[in-house]
Amino acid sequence: MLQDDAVRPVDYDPFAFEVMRNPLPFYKELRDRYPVYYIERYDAFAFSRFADVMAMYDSEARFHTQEGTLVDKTAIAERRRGLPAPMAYDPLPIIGAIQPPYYEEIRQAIGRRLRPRSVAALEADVRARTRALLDALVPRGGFDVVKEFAGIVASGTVCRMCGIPVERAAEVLAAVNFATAQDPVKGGFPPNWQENRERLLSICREAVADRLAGDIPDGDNPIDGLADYRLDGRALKPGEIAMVISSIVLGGSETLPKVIACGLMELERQPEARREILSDLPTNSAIAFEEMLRFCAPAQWFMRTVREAVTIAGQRIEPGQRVLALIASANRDEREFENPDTFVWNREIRRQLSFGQGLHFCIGVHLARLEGRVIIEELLARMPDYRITDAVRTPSSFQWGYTSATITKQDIPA
Amino acid sequence: MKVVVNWTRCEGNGACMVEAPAIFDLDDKDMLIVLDETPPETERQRLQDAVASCPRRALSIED
Repeated sequence: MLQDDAVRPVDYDPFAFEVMRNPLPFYKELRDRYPVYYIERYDAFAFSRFADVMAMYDSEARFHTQEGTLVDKTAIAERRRGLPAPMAYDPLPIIGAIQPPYYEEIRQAIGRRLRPRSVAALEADVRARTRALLDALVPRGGFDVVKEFAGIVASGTVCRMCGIPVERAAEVLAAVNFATAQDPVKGGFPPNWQENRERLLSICREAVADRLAGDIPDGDNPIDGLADYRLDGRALKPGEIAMVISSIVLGGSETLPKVIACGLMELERQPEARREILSDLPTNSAIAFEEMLRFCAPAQWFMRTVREAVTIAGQRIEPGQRVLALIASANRDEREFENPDTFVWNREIRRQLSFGQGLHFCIGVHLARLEGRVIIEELLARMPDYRITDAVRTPSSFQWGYTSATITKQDIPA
Repeated sequence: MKVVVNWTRCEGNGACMVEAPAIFDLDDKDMLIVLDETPPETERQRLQDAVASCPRRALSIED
């Protein structure tokens, strides 16, 4: 066994089909044997342990976001030594590459509506939409828990927030999925990915135009904050505002339904856990959702560019080289979590990395927790026993999660 | 011991006020309020926990 391992070291490539199909066995081997793994073909390093990922997030000057936090297969294949040239801010670059102070200013401009009290005020609306959906779906017998239920709740909420008619939630969700679709075999975004964003961008441009024309009466819209914002004295153009809004719509629609589907599949296998959750559904739904976040969060990694040379675990990393922080691996690190590959609905979680940390910490954190809790609560109240079939976990180098799954109500046996 | 807040960073997530309620609070718009900018030495552990709990890394301690 040892000898076999010695001649056949792990070959980790986030864009390899075998990895995109199921990265978890690769992560385990990386954590145990190569915590700072050199990916020769990209001249990049992968951090797989919780402590190293956390330390990376905490060293913002050393691990920089100037090239953005996500990278395409073709871009990462271009080797880099030294630092990329500083960018101009006219037009505004992709949100992931914007640097402080502008990045912080833009977050402050959009973030008021996402603070805890503002989000708590959305609960009645989220719950009402969740119940109305279940009223329509449950009598049908079976429905798609990703595309027809959790995804619609999530995209409906960002629609409401950004002044897009809630009736367009399904269209928005489809536009988001179209925009983020990756090549499931070769990995990465297709060459025409910018065209694929156009549907989503045009919905956002409409919302921005309506809002700026005063046609959306609803108060406290993130579009207002961006319209009032001045970047070094310059007002953002409507197209730039729409681009930032599209990131919010995308982040708010894409991830949550995948977490829910995966979590429900784990609970389906654990009737005892379901009974425990049902004993105090409002409280326990929030607790169970935390484990779903740890166990299921679909974002696999984020990238940083190294700005100061550093040696970690015996590996020297030079300025300009890239680091991939494998957050999905960190959340299953045996050094941080006991029996990490077991779903324990009420596990005590002191900290986890599903929302990131520091500069790019997920701005929708409170919204995600609200929606996760309400969705689990309302669904289990209606369907305490259910079966999930036809679950599709599309191979992906980045957002690895269920894109479709049918849930069917089961009658409780007498 | 002095509490230092990166004000453009803080987003009112409220983790710090759970760890150190004598030092941090949020107003009704979820803007951070520092109740005690120079807390006594007896608060050091709680302040350190608050700094570590901030998901945006917006807090630090100046001695």
